[in-house]
Amino acid sequence: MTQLESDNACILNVIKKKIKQRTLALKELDNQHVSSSEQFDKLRLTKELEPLQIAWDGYTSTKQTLLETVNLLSDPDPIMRSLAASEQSTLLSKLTSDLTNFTQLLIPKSKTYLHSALMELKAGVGGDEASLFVSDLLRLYGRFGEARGWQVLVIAKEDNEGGRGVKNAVLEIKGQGSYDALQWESGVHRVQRVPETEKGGRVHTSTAAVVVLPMVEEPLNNSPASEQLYNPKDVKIEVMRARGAGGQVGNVGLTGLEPSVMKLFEAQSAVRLTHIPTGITVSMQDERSQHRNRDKAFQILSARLLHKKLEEEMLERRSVRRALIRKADRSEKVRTYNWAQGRVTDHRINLTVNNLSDVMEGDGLGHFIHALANHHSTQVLESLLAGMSTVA
Amino acid sequence: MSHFLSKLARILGPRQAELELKWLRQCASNELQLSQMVKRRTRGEPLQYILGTQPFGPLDILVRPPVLIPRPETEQWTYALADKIIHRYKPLKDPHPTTLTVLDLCTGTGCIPLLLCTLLTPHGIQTEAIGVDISSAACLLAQENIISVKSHFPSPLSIRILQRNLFEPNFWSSIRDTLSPRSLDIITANPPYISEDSWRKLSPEVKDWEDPVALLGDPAVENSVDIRRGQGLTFYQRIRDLLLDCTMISPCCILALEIGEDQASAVTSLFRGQFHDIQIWKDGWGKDRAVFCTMERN
Repeated sequence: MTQLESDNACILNVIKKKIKQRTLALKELDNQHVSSSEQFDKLRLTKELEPLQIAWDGYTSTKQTLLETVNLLSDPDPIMRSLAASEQSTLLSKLTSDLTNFTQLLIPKSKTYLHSALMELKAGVGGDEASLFVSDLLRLYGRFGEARGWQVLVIAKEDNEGGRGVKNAVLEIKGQGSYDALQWESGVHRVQRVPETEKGGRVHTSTAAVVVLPMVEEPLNNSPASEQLYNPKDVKIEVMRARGAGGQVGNVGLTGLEPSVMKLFEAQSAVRLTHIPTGITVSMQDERSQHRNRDKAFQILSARLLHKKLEEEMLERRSVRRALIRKADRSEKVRTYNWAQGRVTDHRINLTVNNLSDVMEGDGLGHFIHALANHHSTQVLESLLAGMSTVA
Repeated sequence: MSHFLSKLARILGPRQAELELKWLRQCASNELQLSQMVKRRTRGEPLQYILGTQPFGPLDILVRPPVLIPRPETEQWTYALADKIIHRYKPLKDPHPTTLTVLDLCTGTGCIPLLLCTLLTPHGIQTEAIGVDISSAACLLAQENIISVKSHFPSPLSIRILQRNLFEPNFWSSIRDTLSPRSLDIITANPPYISEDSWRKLSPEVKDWEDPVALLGDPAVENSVDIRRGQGLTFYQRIRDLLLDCTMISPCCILALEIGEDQASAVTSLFRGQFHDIQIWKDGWGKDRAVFCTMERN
């Protein structure tokens, strides 16, 4: 038990402080009538911390019982001893689960838990091999999403010329919690293997960049969320590429030039949006309908702006509470997939899984996502503690 | 690379081929059908005829040879026109819902009145539209489109299609029965406007598949003497004459006409005088594409 408590000392410290805060507030509330706004703040604080108090009371009573059982372990009666031993193991596992429960109670509820994820995958350095890796990742995330019952949709995909792999793709993973789960995937992913295209058998290192954005539902329905994200006047809408004389003269694809020249103009339904204040541009041409291309482009723009807003909010919070949370930079290498050694390593948390095929073909990605989420929780807790000790 | 893709890429280039193959695949029910579709495409048949539809705003308009395929420019100016109408009629705050009468000349698939109605209804503006076309194939297809749109957008959609010739001397009396007792608030048209010169240079994808009657701006008309031949302007002149002759027009009737890329000044000069507030509307590619104006009844 001592071991358990010292392992979780950090969490327990935070909880003890919070409980002390609450007890103090309760005492003060008892002495006076509730009137001023200060009083209301205290009332709210006690209400907010109530679930924590209940959990803490449960924990302390379990701990008390456990201490009592320890004495019985040396009881002269062998039956009593074995009863105490089995009681002890039940109580210990209850304490452990109480401790994980504390973590969940302490961490502020995610603001983005409702959002779906929009993933942008881009081939980085490494030519064809990088494109092949993007198509591997596309499959990996698609399978990961489907296994969790989320709806997976490839919104846009540009195949590598020559048909080897995918140059870039936009993947929509729809479902509650998909953004929170996948947000850790943002960053540069590195692959080390002998490419299919390599005849000499040399190992190449290539990269793919992943950006995960929180998706805003129905951006064009003037939902309050998207209204706050941008002013429609700030968005420049352009249709892309030349279209010859246009109108009745031109139809899709082949346009009114010399009859002998079957010259191509790119799909004229392509749309480009530019958000002038931030300079963010979004192009979309995968749908036949310019109307739908526009809707999709606005959806991606909203997602990018929401991402930016959340990042800014996080920076603000960080400076307020000297947070230790370090969020991966977009250009930072986050993970390596090494085929030769059959391993996948996440560089942020130094986690290596020595079962590459389980990550690529099975459910191995789940380990990383779980570990990264835990890592994040711990960092939030640490920052809570740091914040409190400066206050105290 | 799939051999469908390489076949398409030869005429379309890689990027467009990939997109079109994706759309064909979505539409085909099996590989055999897909291979037939790819074959048709490589022979230069417009993609929309093969797929059977063309998106037009939120609508999927049915298309079939030889009826003119709706163009993205037309979609764009129809949106602009809807904005103009909403801007003009919404602030009235009439206790009764506004009902506007729309006449679309050379209606083809019926895409313009269908989109206009769909865009105006959510703003409390009801429409009663009449679409007119000379071609029986177009009239039939427009009817099918009305049914198709009604089944997807259950709204009080009121559109009538009439097969009429714009150049008939008794044009107005031939639609009077359908129109009366209402008078026209909005007149739209995407008339044929391709000149003889442009016709010669037209891509086979358009020329070999779409009805020349829907494209050629200067048809052989028996009764006309003073028509400027060769510039594709005959229909605009006829529409102006028809409107000046019409007794069934509301005060401040809005007229919206699609035009060819270099016809703006010729068309606006035709309408100067009886028509006010003449505006040249540029499409998304920066080309003069439509003329909007208001007709004042004396």
